[in-house]
Amino acid sequence: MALLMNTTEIESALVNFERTYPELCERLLLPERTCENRSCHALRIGKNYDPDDTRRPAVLIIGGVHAREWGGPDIIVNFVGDVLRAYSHGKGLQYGDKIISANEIKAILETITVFAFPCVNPDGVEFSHTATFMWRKNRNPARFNGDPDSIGVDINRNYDFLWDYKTCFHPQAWQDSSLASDDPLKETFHGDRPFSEPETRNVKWLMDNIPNLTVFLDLHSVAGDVLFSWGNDQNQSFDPSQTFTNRAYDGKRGLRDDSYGEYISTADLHTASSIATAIRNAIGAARGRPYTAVQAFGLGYPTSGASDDYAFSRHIVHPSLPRILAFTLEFNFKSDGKKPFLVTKDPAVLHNTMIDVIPGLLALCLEAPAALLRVAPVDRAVSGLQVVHQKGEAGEIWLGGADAKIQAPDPYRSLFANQVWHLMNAYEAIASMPGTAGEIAREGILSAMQRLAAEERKGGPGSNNK
Amino acid sequence: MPAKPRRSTPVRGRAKVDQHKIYRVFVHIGSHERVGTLDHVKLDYACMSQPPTDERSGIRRLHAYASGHAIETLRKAGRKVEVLADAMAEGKRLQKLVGKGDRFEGGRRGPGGIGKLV
Repeated sequence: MALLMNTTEIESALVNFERTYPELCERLLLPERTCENRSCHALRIGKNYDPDDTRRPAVLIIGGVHAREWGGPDIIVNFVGDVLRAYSHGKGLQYGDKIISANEIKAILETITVFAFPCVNPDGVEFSHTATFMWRKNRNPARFNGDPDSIGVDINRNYDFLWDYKTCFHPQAWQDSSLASDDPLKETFHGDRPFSEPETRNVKWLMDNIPNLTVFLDLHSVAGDVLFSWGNDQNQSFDPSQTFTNRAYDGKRGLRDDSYGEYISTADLHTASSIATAIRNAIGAARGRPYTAVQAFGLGYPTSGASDDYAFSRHIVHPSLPRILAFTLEFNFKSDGKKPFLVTKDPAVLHNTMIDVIPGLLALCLEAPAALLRVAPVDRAVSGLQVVHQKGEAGEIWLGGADAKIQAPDPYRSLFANQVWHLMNAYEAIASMPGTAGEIAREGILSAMQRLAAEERKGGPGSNNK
Repeated sequence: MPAKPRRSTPVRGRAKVDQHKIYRVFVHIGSHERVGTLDHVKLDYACMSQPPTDERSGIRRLHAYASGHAIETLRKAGRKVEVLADAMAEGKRLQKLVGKGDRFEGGRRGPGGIGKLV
């Protein structure tokens, strides 16, 4: 019995979902056809979808990028099918010991929008399924030189993030071709320029056109990790000048334990690592599989031109774009020991992998509202600042600040400490916001902190919760 | 009915290799040696599962695909290479796990689902 879906079946599954659940999903034809002239579709999932609803966060999940990492498209298709089926029955879902309640399924369908693009690289996947199993790249013949290995580009080295690795990274880092390669014979050949490939342009198109996209996940194998930003160097939160946009650090990136680290604000790091941990915990709850939540650079090598770094970098390069917290989920298999990818004919292995990973994708969706945390400047005469947070379960909007409710208070901190912590995170998030809006927002946070401190000194609201 | 004998991988260890075939291998490297030092031969190890370093010997085994030619080059340079499988034969067996045609009949049917409704 066949286990894995071929590329035709992946497309047919999306057609079936659209026909079966027309009120809950819509198939989207993406603008670029592949080099072998295949059309590509994503699926939008959500009840009462309104593209103008700026408070409704969106999630984008992609798979089938590296052709030989079998199982990714199957996981995404079954994740979508399960959510739609459960919602239409008013039920929850169980995967091993992990239960997702009917209310949680309802929250996913009614308070966020999920975009699923299960097979980014259908040409490569088809070639891996039918010809050369270990194929990784797409099938672009532009650099074909007579050697069959010169066909194709590594899609996950073709995004516009530190793509010019020989300029951006330390020479010692680019000796390991896992970073990227300009040799078409290599598996990590990064193409002739950023976004040279139709597959990466399709993903970019989704990022450009999905309103309020807050969370992105790229499904790969085989490490057993949930990876969060950054992937080019070790994270640091103390020197904002050490950033991928600063050309002064060209030639210095990509080495461990040296003077360069990629800047990420404490607030973003906290949110990203919390979401990665939630994904890991949900995966572990199903069958006890020991995935780890770790910074992408922790995988053992730096990357250039990868999807997750590109997604998270967009709002830094273009401050008008929404911040997208980005993750790569490297799934694996219990019996994989010495095996490279899904190399087993035991049907239980793929099934169990889906049992593990789908709860992780559901956790990502449930965490998406937390990623929507926004600091919005408002009329300074009113309250100086409002922190807007959409609570996942009920779709409730909370307005926080010194004089309002604080989301998800840490039970081990006093109310005062929670409020200060929250405001400090908010300040970090807008520390580099330019213009008058940034000034107003920063003033608002500082005045809120002063009010809090004054209340605390007077034995105010924080004093009864110590 | 007797159980079918399990098909074993046709090559193992230091067996002689065909220059034109592709194999799945472990290449032994030092625990602090950069993988880049092997880039003079074509090794494909991108995103492959890597076993942990043997703490007693300090030897790290790089899991990779390599041609018979690359294996011979590495061995001639004194590098230990363990051959795990004929990758092409392994791939052909695995490709039987992929659906043929269209089980979902252009969308008239869909996948049955994985999660249990509760």
